[in-house]
Amino acid sequence: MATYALEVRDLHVWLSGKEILRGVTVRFPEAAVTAVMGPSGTGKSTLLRAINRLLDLNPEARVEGDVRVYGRSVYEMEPYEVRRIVAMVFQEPNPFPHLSIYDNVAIGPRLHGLARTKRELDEIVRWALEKAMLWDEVKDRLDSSPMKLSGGQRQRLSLARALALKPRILLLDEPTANVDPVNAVKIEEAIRGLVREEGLTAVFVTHMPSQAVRVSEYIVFLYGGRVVEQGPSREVALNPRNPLTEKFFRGEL
Amino acid sequence: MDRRLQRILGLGGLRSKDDERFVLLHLPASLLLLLVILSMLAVFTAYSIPILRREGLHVFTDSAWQAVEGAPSREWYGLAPAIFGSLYTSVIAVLLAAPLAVSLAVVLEELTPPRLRGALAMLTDLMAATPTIIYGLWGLAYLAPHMYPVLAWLSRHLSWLPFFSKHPVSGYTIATAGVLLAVMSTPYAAAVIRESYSMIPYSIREAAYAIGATRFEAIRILLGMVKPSIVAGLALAFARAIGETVAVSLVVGNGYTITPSVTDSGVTVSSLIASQFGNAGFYHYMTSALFVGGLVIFAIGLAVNLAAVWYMRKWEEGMGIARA
Ligand SMILES: Nc1ncnc2c1ncn2[C@@H]1O[C@H](COP(=O)(O)OP(=O)(O)OP(=O)(O)O)[C@@H](O)[C@H]1O
Ligand SMILES: [Mg+2]
Repeated sequence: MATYALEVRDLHVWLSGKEILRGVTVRFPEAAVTAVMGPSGTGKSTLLRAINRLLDLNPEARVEGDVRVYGRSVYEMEPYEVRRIVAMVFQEPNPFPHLSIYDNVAIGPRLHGLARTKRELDEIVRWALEKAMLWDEVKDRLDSSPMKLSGGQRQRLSLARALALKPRILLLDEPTANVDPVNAVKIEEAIRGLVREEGLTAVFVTHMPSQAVRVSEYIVFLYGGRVVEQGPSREVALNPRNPLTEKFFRGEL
Repeated sequence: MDRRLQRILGLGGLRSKDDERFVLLHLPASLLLLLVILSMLAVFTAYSIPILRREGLHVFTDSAWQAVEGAPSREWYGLAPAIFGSLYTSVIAVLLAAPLAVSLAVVLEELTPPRLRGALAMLTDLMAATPTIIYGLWGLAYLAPHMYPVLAWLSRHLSWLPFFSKHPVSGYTIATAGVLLAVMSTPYAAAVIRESYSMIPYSIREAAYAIGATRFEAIRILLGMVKPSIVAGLALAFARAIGETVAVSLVVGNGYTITPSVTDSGVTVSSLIASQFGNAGFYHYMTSALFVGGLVIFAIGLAVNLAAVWYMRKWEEGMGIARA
């Protein structure tokens, strides 16, 4: 049986008093991609933000239950420690506009002291950009602004920035929703490569059944703040047991 | 409206009579403003000519201020101490206002609970709206006497620094003027910084925390993002400081010398104009000299603002932000 990098136990989240997640329990196997699916507004982004404690930023959020990263409860860790191990890529590409391409990637390792010398830092930056499949496109203009990149390149830069933290877990909140198909494929390939070669564990939120099947080993289907189905991707996609999942995969939800 | 006139005014493409009426309604205001500016330039130039003819560039570089009634040939006016004092007090003000304004903005935006934020913001707005004479009287009655022991201490222990070389004779010094100007201009600079800080998109804020930044580190990252507005805010603070008249003249001590020692008294162009203009009519050249002083202040203010605009343009270009 697979070991689990990440476990969510009976998680409840209230936003402004409204219960968004209603007791989510799910385990994410190590070195695999788990796709989180479900209709809009069902709490997928909220789940990711509960996992890396970004919900702490929202004074209107209340959380109950537990999230464990390699057995440790994130609620017993410092938030910055959690977020170094559990990095995140958002729906909108969000590189820091005032930092160069290089500094956008280097900022995390600098904060966490991951490199002792400039050389080591250069290596991390290069490694992260390569893993995000962006290196070839930007290696000659590392000092220029990310705002001169295309949307898809900017999203891969956001991915590289996350990877430079040397995380063990990667949260991806519809990372291809705002990029063109060519870039979407590159991002999918990058994630697959990271899981295969680096043993990363990925939580990949997506709306698209086809993408979920392409990119993930497992699918978790959320509906109304609850997990209604989970299992290996093919099984869930081809033989959904829950009628809601089936409806969703037929594109009727 | 006549097509040709439209084109001259750059108003091609008006759609309707309504558009035209709108333009005609607002045109006079802009024209009036233009006229005022032109007349200012004309008056300042006209008044400046006599002293420039007589003293040439010496009016900027000399340190003497000799007003002799009934003997124009013995009058001599050098503005150097005043120009120096204006720059010196304003630079001190900006150096002090910079950290104050940034912290005020951060405290308001990041550390104040939302319920208190409105009240605190109102207080700083009130500070910005307070007439400068109020600051001046506060400086005269409270700040200057309380600065005195501090300055005396500094000059006793740090007199090897040129800034504190002179033992103060009173609290009415360049340093006091600088501090007062800093207090006055901080709310302005802070408002500019706050405004753009609050406009940072939530997604960028999340990005800062998502890379594992602590609160303090995240704030530092986000402050980097509003650097141009910090520069703009400080340019505004500088403009306000260098243009300030009455508050400064009440605390600066009005000593007509050039000195690096902030514990010494000094003079600024604005305070000089305020204190001398009333009796300038008794002399032949003094009015003209004061007008030249005004021009200098105007030019410095303009230069600082242009520099700030230039910096922001460059910054935006660097980020690839297209300008409308
Ligand atoms: N601050 C808030 N206060 C109250 N409700 C909120 C708040 N933020 C989000 N919500 C609600 O929480 C629910 C879940 O939002 P969430 O963004 O997690 O959904 P999602 O599954 O990611 O949707 P999408 O597929 O559209 O991204 C939505 O119904 C949303 O309206
Ligand atoms: Mg979402």
